[in-house]
Amino acid sequence: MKNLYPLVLVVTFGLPFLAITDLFPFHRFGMFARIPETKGSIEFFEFQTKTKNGTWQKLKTGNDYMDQSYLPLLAERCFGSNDKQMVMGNKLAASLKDKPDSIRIAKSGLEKLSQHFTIFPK
Amino acid sequence: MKSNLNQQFLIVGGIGFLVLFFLEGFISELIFQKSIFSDLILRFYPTLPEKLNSLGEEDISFYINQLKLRWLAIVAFSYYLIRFTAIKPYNSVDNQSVLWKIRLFYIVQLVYLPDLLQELRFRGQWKALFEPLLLFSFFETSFPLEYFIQVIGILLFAASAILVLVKWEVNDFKPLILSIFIFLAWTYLLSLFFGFGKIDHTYSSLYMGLLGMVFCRYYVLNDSQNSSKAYLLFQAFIWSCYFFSGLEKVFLSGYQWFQSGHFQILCHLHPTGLCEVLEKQPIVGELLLILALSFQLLSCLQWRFPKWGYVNVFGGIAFHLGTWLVFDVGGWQSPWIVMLLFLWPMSNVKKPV
Repeated sequence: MKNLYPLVLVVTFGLPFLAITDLFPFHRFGMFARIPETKGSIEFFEFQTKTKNGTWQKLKTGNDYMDQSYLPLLAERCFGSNDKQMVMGNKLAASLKDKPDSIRIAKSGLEKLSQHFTIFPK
Repeated sequence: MKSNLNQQFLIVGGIGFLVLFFLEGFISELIFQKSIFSDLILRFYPTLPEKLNSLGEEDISFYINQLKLRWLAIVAFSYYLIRFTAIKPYNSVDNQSVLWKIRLFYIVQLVYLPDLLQELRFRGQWKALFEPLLLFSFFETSFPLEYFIQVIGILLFAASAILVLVKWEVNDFKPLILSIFIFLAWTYLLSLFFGFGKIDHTYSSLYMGLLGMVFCRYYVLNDSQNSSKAYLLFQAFIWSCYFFSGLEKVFLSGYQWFQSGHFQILCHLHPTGLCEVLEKQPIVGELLLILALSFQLLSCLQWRFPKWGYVNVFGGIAFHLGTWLVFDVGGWQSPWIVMLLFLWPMSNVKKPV
C-alpha cells in the first residue's frame, strides 16, 4: 500500500512519456524537446484570408493566445491532406463573422519559398 | 528486503526490455495490418500510423529504440521513488502548517479559474473547430453552451470556497470528496480547452497539483498523524513536471541539446529582441540551455532531499522568467511560477532517521 502513491506518480507521468504523446488527463512535458532541426528545415504555417482589395492577410481570431498556439498547428496538420483542408476550410468559414471570399494555408521557411493551398472554397 | 526490491525491479525492467526487443521487427506490422490488436492500439493512439508514416525507416527504428530506453528510464524512476523515498518517519509533525498550505493551494487554483473560463468563453465562437479528445468523446459530442460552462465554474468556486473556509478536522473525509470534485471539474474544463487540436501546458503543473492533492488528501485521511508525508507526495507531482520535461530533452534531443546551433534554432522558432542579442554570443546560449536541463533533471532530488526544494523554487523562477524574456513563452503571471512556491521545503521535515 505504501508504494501505491509513488506508482500512481509513475503511471501519471510515465504513460505519456513512454507513448511519446499526450494522453490527457496525463500530460507529456518538454515543449522545447524535439529531434534537432537545421535552420533550413524550420517551417511556419498560417491561415490567410483574402481581403476586399484582393490581398492576403494572416487569419486572426481576436485572441493572441489562440493565434499563436493553436492556428499554426491546425494549419500544419491539414497542410498535407486534401480532405482535412476541405473540412478545415469549411469550419473556418463557418466561424468567421465576416465571410471571406477565400481562405488558404501558407507554408514558409527560413530558407525556402512560401507555398500556398486554397482550402476555401474547395 | 532491499535485495528483494532490487531483484523485482531487475526482473520487471528486463522482461519489458526483452519484450520490446523481440517485438521490434513486428511492431510496425502489428500496427499497420488490420487486426484486433491494431484496432486496439489505434483506439488509444489514433495518431500513431500518421506518426510512423511520416517517419523514414531509420526514424521508425529510432522511435522503437526510444520505447526501449524510455521503458528502462521509467523502471529506474520507479525504483528511485520506492527505494530512496524521504517518506519515512520524521521527528516532528506540524499538521496545521500542512493544512494551511493545502488551503493556499486551493486559493491559487481559484485565482486562475476565471482566466480559463474567459478563454473557454472565447472558444465558444470557434466551436466549429472543436473536436473532443478521445477519452472524452463518449459524452462530449460538441462544445457545450456557455451557460453550462458557467454553471461548472460556479460549482467549482463554491466547492473551493467550502474547502478553504470551513475548519475541517484532519480525519474528516469531506475535503477528499471536494478535492475529487474540483479535480474532475478542472479535467472537464481543460478537456474542452484542449479540444481545439493542442494540449496546452499553461495549466499543467497546476492541474498535476490538483491530482496530487487528491492523493495528498487521501494520505492525510489515512495517516493523520503525519501529514507532512502527504505533502511531500503532492510536491512530487509538481517537480515531476520538470523532471519529465528534462527527460524528454535528453531522449529526443540528446547531445545535440548542447550543440552550438541549437540555441539559434530555438531563437528562430521563438524570436525576440533578447534572443537576437544572445544569439550573437553562442557560449551564453549554450550555457543557458545546459543550466535549464540541469535544473530540470536534478529537480527529482527533492524526493530524497526535501531541502532541494530551495533550489527548485529559485531555479524554477529563474527558468520561467528566462523562458519568458528570451523566447516570449509563458509570462511572469504564469501559474507555473506560483506552483513553484509549493515546492518550498517544510520547516518540520528532517532527514530520515
